[in-house]
Order: sequence, then C-alpha cells, then structure tokens
Amino acid sequence: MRLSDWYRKHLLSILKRYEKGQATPSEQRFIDSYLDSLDQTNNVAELPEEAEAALHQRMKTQLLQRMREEEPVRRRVVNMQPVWRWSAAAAVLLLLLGSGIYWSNRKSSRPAVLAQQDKAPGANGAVLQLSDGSTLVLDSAANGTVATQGKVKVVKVNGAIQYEGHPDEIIYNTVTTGKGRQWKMILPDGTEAWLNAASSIRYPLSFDGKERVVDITGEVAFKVVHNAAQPFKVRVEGHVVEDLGTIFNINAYEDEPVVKTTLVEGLAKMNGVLLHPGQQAQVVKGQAEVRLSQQENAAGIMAWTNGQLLLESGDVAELLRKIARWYDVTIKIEGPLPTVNFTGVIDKNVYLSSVMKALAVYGIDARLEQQTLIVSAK
Amino acid sequence: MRYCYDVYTDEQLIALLKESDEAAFSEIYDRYRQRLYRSASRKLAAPEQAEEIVQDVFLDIWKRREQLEIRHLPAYLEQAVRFRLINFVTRQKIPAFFDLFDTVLFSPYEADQLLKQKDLVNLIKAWIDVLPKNQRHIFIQHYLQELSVKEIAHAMALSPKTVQNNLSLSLQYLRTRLSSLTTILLAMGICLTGVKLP
Repeated sequence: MRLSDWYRKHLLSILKRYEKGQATPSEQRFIDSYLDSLDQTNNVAELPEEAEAALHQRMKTQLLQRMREEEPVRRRVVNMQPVWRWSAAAAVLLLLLGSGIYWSNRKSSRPAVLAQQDKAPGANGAVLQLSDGSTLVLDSAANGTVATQGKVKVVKVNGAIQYEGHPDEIIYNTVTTGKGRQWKMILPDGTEAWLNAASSIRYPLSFDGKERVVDITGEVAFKVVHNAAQPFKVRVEGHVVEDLGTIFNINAYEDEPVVKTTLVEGLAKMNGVLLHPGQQAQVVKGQAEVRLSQQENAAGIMAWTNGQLLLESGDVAELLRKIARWYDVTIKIEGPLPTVNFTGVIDKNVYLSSVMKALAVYGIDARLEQQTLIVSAK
Repeated sequence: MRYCYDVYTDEQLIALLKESDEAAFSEIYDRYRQRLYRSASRKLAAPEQAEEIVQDVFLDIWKRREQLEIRHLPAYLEQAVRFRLINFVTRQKIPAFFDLFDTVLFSPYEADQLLKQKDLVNLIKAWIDVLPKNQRHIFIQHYLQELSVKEIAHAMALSPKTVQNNLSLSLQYLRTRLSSLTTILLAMGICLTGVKLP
C-alpha cells in the first residue's frame, strides 16, 4: 500500500463523515463512485446452486434466531395472516388444461343474492382453541386482547394472532379450519403452515425441547425453517414426518383411504423412509408399510396453497371429496360414474355452479339440492 | 413452486412489514439476500463479513420496520449495505478496501485495464473534488507526471527493440488519453499552467 499517510487520513475522515450522514455532496459522490468502481472491478463467482441454497437456509435460520433473541419481550408472533385475498371483481376464469377448454365466466362479480342452485366458494377462516379448551373464531374476532393463557396474552392485530409474553410451562394451542375455510399461519419458529379445509394443527406456543413437534389432521402444507439441532416433526394418524430442510404437503383426511406425504423441496422422512423431491410417500390407513411413488406434478399438489383447486385425478370420488370440503356440501352419488382422467386447475374463488359446468364436460351431471350435490352419469 | 407472498410487489411487502408481518419480511429476505451478499463481496468484504453485513442490514429493517420510509427497496438495501460496509472499513476491518484506489493513483495503466475510461475519469474527478484547494494542484501535477512516466515505461516494455517508434506512439496515445482528463480538469476551472505535457 503506497497511499501516503495524508491521503489515507483524508479518506478515512471522508468515510467517517459519510457514516454519520455528514458528508458533503461531493464527498458522497466520491464514495459512491469508488464503490461503483469496486462493483465493476470485482467479479464474484456464483456459488453452485446447492451451496447457494444451503448458505441461504443457514443465514435465514440464524437471522430468525437473532431476531428472536434481540426482541425477547416483543410479542412472539404466531402470525396468522390470511393470505388468500380474493379479488371479487376479477373475472372468474375456469381453466381445464387437459381438455383444452377455456371458459370465462360472465358472472364476474358476486351476486348479492345467491341463485337458488349455487353455492359460494370457501374463504379464509379458522378457529383457535386455547389450552383451557375455550375457542375463538379467528375470522370474526375483533382486534385487541382476545384471551389470556397463564402469563400469555392472545392479541389479534390486523387479522393476525400474536402472543404476548413467554409461557412458564408448555402451552398448546390448536387451529382448526372447517369445511369451506382455509388458513395460513406462521409457527413460533418461523415455519409456515397452510391449512386446507377441514384440517387442524396443534402446536406449542414456544418450541423448547429437543425437537419441534406438531400434530395435524386433514391436509396441511409446510415450509419448514430447518434447524438440524431441533428437528421439525409432524405427527399425523400415528405416522411421523420429519423435516430435513423441506417443503412438503401432507394429506391425511379422515375420508381418504391413504395418508400421502409429497415432498416438493429438500429432504424429509416419513416413518423413517427418506423422500426426495418429487416423491410421494403413501401409507394405506391401518397399515405400516410406506410406499414411495414418483409424482410428475409434485408442486401441483400444493396448488391449493395458491388458491387453486387441482383437478388432477383419475379418481372421480377423490375429486368429489375435495369439492365437498371446499364448498361445504355433502356428495351423493347416484349410479356408476364414468371413468375419466381429470387434468386441470380451477380457481378456488369460483362458485360451485362453475365447477358443475366443468364436471358436465367430462360427462358428469351434478345438481344441487340444499346442501347436497347429487352426482350422476349424464 | 409459488407461494402466496411472492406475488406481492415490494411496495405491498413493505406495507405488510410495517404491520410486523414476518412472512413479508421473510419474502423480502428471500428476494434480496443473495443480491446483497454479492454486493458486499464485490466491495471486498470477506465471506464472513459479507454475511455479517447482510444480516445486520436485514435485522435493522426489521427493528425499524414501523418507521421505515422506503421508496425503492433494492436501492434502499444497496445503500444500507454501503453504509454498513463503510462502517467496517472505518473500523479497519477490510484492509483491502483501499487497494483499488492505490492502483488508480499509482498504477494508472493497470487501473485503465480494470476500469472503463469513463469511470476512471469520473473517479479521479470526484477525488479531486474532495481535496482541499491547495492539495488539488499538487495532486494534478503529480498525477499527470505519474501517468506519463508509467505510460512510457509500459510502451517501452512492450517493444524494447523499437523504442523510438513506440515512444512516439505512446506519446500520441498518452495525449489522446490525457485530453479527456485535461478537458475535464479545465472544465472544473483548475489552472493547469505549469503542468508540462511530454
């Protein structure tokens, strides 16, 4: 380094003024121009994709930890933010990819009074059950303190539930969605969880033990904040799904015969069996054996978290159960139904009548009588 | 795979961040972490330093989320990285930070290879701007001399057998090269009398 002492001192004094926000405009110009020159002269090699992802994950986990450490008194946020914001005015588009048929529904805004034979789609909403068993409807609760659990206050702020204070003992809360409801929330460790209709998740207000364990029913998708020192485990129907840095979807509805865990990203284990991205682990109810299958459209299985209803199934009955959960109807099947291979995605924001039209294209007749959708071959 | 938050614009995410929405913060992090890390690295922060700078920047926007006034998020974040990096420099944590400047002042030929002519000139011009008046003249004289000596030496090294020929070539080259700088210096109203061009 040959910079003379005078230059060096001069540079440092300019930098210090810059730091304090006291630099003159020409001093700012000089520093910006020097930093621009550095940007231009130093090429930073891009990390391989995997190394980049690992770095990102490690830094993110560390940052979330620092955020929590530095704000211990702050409201511990279990941010239950409704994510699906329906745009009522948006034209309803029903897309059936497989058949290549596109509809655009002319009824672009919601009618004030529903037609007799139609049903509105589901919406955001859930019920929070506190440790003492009392319940709270999250979609209708007013802002402010809504409950107290020991030393912890439950506060609703802008539609999100937050906890104030740290519990002395382990306290569990449960969030449940009914039929026709879905909810997205962030667990105390930063893990994101999407609850589909007719589902639930039970979690502690703080994850203090060796592992982070939650219990679920129905269908829940996770984007886990990975922490090898404190593994994240999901208990479902007596099975255990363990995260190894992961985005995955678990479908374990009571009325579905098979518990399915689909891995979208990372690695995970179901009952100890390792899953790779794109794989689905299936366990037939009442059996122990885990069967792996490759999914062509693993990400599509999580389409529901984006407000879409995936109609990709060769199983009409399974599809009808999906419809029943979202539109809160009972399905009654009359006579044998045709075997069809559905391949399509439908906006979850459309009225049931649009779904019925889509079914008609596949030769399935559906009519609504009160809360029952009666389905038969055309 | 698309998540609900990644459809939000930066502006929408900032609005959610102000309401302490951690998922919005998380999305901002996912969106800009790599870019900021690379920006700090390009400014010679070592990997651990680049990490520290990036984390500090994000921790700071989370802490001050309620008071934030952000018009353009990427520009805001880049500026925040710059402030944090300068903080490292003033605490002598990045010794290599001045190396480029050293090159610009003392190895003009090398600097010319590294930087675009326009940027090099701008940098020198900006530097002259921040010098006290009495230092300006001294610097310009020395710099122009330094430049000429280096250029000639370089030209000679290239082709020692045709020194004569190259010398005149290099002088011509130097005059063209210097002309942009001298024009700028003159435009700045600096008297160049006494500076002898070869």
